[in-house]
Amino acid sequence: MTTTVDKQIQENLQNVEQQRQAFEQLVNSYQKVLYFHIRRIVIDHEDASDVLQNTFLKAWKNIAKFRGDANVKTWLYRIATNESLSFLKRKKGHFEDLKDLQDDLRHSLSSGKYIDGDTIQHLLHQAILTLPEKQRMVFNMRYFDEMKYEEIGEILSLSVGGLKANYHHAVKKVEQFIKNQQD
Amino acid sequence: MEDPTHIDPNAEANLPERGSFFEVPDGFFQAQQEALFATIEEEELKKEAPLLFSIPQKDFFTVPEGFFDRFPGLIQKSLETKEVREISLRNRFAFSKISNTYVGYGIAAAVAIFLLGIWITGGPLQEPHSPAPKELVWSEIPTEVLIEAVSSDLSDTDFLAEAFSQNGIEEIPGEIFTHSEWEEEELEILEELDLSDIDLEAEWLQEPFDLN
Repeated sequence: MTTTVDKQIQENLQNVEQQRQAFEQLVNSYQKVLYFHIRRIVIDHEDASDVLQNTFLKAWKNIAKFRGDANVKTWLYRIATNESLSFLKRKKGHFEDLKDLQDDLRHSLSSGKYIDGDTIQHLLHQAILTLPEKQRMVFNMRYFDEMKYEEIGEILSLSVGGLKANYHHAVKKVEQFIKNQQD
Repeated sequence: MEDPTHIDPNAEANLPERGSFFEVPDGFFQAQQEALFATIEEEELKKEAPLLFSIPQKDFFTVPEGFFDRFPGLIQKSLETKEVREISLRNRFAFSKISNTYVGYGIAAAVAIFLLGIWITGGPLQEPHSPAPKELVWSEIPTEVLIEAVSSDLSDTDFLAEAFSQNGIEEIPGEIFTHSEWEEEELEILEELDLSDIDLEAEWLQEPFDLN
């Protein structure tokens, strides 16, 4: 959904004279939501901070390409998602295989640095890490950010039907994981 | 004086159509319907996963104190100190010229890999001050392909060839090749490449290069 503030920022982004100021507003408005979106993907705080910086720098570099009629929120989320995934892809290159990357993410989760949650919260995030990448993205955006399927579809270039199926599978897997751990 | 008991026989015809006094925004009823179905679906899902939906939503991840106060300043500093370069549209143009000549996604993917290969191994497209190729490739690849890339255990070359063809991407974005400005001379080399003489399988696909 485009808010009035977003609309104003979008308009100002199109105006070269107001671009810099509009971008500052953009950083202030979106830094928190994007940080937590990125953090849920890369887990570690330092990594999330780096990816967040790259996200905004990339947004600035590509500001000329941003169309006035586009949704600034989905545009930023798409850049953040791409930056997070490409970060993971590069990180995976340092490991033998995918399993090692997942182990590393799990390790970051259990290290407890800048993490504040009880047992059930830990279980939830461990469960999310067991999901295939696509389901993990969809689950995070729907469950935590409460985004509409249409918005998630714009970010991930997936159909609403496909997203619903992915979310449904993810929910069932997470539920099963928590249940198994509690039994 | 007008007769107060007189009823104009055309009065009803002059009235606005019934129900047209109140208006709703375009698509209102469809949106209502969709919202209703979405709520029903959500409720059904909550019944299927009672444990998950009973977990209180709270901030699990935290940040160092003052992080979000300092962050905008960090971005400002980066914008002032780092050279911000626009991606040249000429890159997209150059590739689309080639991909139009060679019909078929498989060929397009192979061409992409070939060009990346030239670039990575320091061929004519290499620019000394351009950022690391691995970064460019993965951050500019479409999200849907990137998701698959993270989960795949295939080598990067095999993955790219397969992913582009399977996702039906006809025109690979020029941005995945470089952020640097290509010189006219380099573009000429690109356009003059006779790919039919090159055995792509032997040259690149059999010996995957590691982008990471």
